[in-house]
Amino acid sequence: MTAYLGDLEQLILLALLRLGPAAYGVAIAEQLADRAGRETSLGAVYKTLTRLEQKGYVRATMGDPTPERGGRRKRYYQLTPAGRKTLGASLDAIRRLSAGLGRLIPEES
Amino acid sequence: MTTPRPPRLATWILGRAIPSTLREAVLGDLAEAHAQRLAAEGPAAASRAYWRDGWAVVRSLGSYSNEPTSLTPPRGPLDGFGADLKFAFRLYARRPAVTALVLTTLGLAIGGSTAIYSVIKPALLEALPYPYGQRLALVWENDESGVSNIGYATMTDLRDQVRGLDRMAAVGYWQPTWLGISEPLRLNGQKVSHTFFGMLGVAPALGRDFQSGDDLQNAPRVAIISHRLWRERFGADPAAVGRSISLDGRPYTVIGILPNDFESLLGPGVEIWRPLGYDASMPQACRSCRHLRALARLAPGVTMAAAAGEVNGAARRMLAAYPKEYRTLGMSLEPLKTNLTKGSRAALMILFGAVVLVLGIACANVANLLLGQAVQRRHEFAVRMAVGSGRERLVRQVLLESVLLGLGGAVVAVGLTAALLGPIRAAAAAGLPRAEAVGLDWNVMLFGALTGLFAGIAFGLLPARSSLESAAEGLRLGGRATARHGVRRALVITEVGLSSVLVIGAVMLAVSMGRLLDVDPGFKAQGLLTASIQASGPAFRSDSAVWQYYGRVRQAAADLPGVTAAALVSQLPLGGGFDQYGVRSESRLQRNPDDAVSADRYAVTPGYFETLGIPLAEGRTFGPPDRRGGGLVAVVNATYARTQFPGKSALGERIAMGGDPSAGPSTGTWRTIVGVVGDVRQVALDQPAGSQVYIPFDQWQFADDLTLIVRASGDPTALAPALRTAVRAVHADPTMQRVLPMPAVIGSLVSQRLIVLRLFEGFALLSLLLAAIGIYGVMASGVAERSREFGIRAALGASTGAIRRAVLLESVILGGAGLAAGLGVSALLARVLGAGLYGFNAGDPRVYLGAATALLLTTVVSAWVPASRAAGHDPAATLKSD
Repeated sequence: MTAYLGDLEQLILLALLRLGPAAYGVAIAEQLADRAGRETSLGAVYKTLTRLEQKGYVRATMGDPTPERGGRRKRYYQLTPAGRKTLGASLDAIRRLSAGLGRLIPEES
Repeated sequence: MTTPRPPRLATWILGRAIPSTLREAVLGDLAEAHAQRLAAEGPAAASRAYWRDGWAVVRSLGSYSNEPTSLTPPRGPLDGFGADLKFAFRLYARRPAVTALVLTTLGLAIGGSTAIYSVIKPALLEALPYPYGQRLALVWENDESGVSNIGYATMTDLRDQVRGLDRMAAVGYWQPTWLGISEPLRLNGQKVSHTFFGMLGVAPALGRDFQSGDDLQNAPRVAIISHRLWRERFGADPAAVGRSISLDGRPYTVIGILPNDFESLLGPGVEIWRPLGYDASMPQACRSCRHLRALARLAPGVTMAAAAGEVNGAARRMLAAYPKEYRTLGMSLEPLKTNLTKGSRAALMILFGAVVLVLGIACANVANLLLGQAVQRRHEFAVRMAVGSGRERLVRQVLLESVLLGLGGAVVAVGLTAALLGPIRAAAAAGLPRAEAVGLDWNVMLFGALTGLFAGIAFGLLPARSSLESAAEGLRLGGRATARHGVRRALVITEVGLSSVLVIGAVMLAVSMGRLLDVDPGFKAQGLLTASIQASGPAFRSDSAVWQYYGRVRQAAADLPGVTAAALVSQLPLGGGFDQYGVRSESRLQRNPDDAVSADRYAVTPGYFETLGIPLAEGRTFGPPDRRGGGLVAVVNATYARTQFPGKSALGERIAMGGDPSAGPSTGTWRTIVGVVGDVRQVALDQPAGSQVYIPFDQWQFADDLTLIVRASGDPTALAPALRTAVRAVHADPTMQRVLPMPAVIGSLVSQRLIVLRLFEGFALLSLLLAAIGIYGVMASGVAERSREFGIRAALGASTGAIRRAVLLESVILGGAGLAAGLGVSALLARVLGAGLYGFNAGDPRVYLGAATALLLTTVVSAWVPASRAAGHDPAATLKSD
């Protein structure tokens, strides 16, 4: 029995995979905007990340402080094995459901 | 150049709004975004974006409520308390005018309560400053006219017979003059049984207490002095113990110095004590020589009631044994504390009631103000609710704000009380017990703080409730505020009602005081200067020297320029003392050998009636032939003449003062009535004169201390220095005390009432001012909200006068409603209070009419500006604005 993911959760988990070790708040929001065309506030990003953290799908580590951040450290997020498994299951479900429907779903350029 | 940093305030707020686990990361991300924007779009855009993004973060994080531990808004009852506190302080800092108004209002009201409490605490609430002071009691003889002092023999009998009384001590007046120092000094003293200090539970700080050996007729003369006298006159020199001082020309050895914190409650201001030194054989030790106060300490385990029963049993035995000496109805025991507080309890309670009313009005006023603010702050409340603030949190925030205001008011109040401590003590000294103990201790400060706390809760409850409604309204776009007019009007009506109670109370007191001061005392007080003169010292050992001296003083005073008449008297009318004697008349005695009336006894010099302006009704006043050795004469007052000799003239009747006339001592010798004069009020303005008998001063068997009275042609006060010089010129030793114009003497007699009246007037004015502010606030905000209505009315042709009248009428209706409630309460109050007020008729319509006029006038004046504002609306502007 696999839990389903919300769509922002799914997008953020994908962004984490894409960003690798450089995944922190601003970078995640940028990925969502650039790749998914979805302007997301930092608040929403953090809210979702926190929820994912509680579900055990991501874990956070603190990075090093940088001057442009006013000397504050970054909080980096990574997928946990459970997160990968759930993301995989979730994407699988979409793949299975969308198989053979290619002509019915117009592709965005 | 340094990179501009993100807006500090925003960072500060965010730092408090973002949960701690995410704070650093989120603030860092925001700062990073800010830095990027700064490079791309410039500082202004970057700042705006920082605020916007920050707000969005708080909003999405704040509304997250799925029970995660890291993101929920604080839930505990005290979580976020510090933030609320900071928020409240910022709120006040942003509105200095409103904050100052609230703090002033509360400061005055709480300050009034704290000041009155600081007086009430030592006077009524605290235990007496003696160990087990509640077990001390005064013993009185009861007679027809009330309670009286007791004689020495009565005291010793009670001491020996009543087991319920552990110890007893007699206390008598003693006012020695200290001679042999640069200028003779009259001391306020007491002669006491040697057991006195031991019974109070007080031991001298230096030296020793009195012993039984000191309390004998011919014992070496010793005295104990107060700490203050020791400091001021002996330079706090420990060698003062053992020193000899000359009192009234006799040497006394100082044997002890009392501790600094000793309070002389039985004689405020007493600085020196000597042993009574009575012996049963002495004439002044007799049973009917009722000039001593008897203080007793209850024996362990004995109740006041049991001791009183025992005292009464002893009284019955004494009455049976000495039927001629006691005409009394028994004896009574009065707890010392009851005795000390009974004169001031009512006045203090009335004042405390007044300040509580003022406090109520102040609370209503502040509640009103905060309600107005709650309406203005509806958007803030709405946002707080939107970002996840719970209802409890919102209510807590608003309550916290008002409690902080209350506590701020308490700080102002305590400051005010501290600043006014001097005048408060001076006022208290005019008639309250333990005025010296009035102070600002932790207890008084705690009272102020608690009052502030409760006031804050009281006036914060309505705004807190209202804030919830406001929050709901604020969520609706452009939501119009219903300004809670119903509640605010009710508050104003309450204010006017409470204020009218105070105003009516003040008018009642003022009317009564006016009537009291209008009372004709029986003489013309204006233009009189009085001074009590004590002839003491070696030169005045013989009575004849004293009589001679006073005769010369009278002459010297009469010869002063600016003096039209001068005389001396043993008991100054309304001077605080009196001397009563049993008076028998020869013609009535033939019918009833025990017939005697109690009368005020005066020894007067020639010219007394003329100097005071006491009218002569019949016969003559005293003149040169009425000297010692001449025919014994007396002048009586109209009341004595009328009651003793109804329907006929008193002239030629013979009377005797005290004693047994047939036995022949000088007290009891027959004197012929040669004149009848008008009644003079002796004890108090509100106490009509009883019988009064005047005797030429040198025909009295004792040489009294006399009070000099001169009538001045101009300002009597200006005469004082010349009078002092003239009296000193007659002889250097006697001392002059209380050199006061007669109106000031009368003033000090009514000083307690006067202080109550002035304070009450002050509170009433303050309450009017507060009510005016309340009316103004409600009318002004009402008018502001209805500007559209007034614009339309004006457009439809209503004249400015009509609109102004309509608004004023509204305010008068508000004021009238409050007034009606207040009048109802006051009429009830008047029946309770009026009974204790001199010459006051509770049904006097002028009092109510006067108060009603004052309040309605206040209403109209305070509504005038809002009314004019309403009338001044430009209809075009109003209609365009929609």
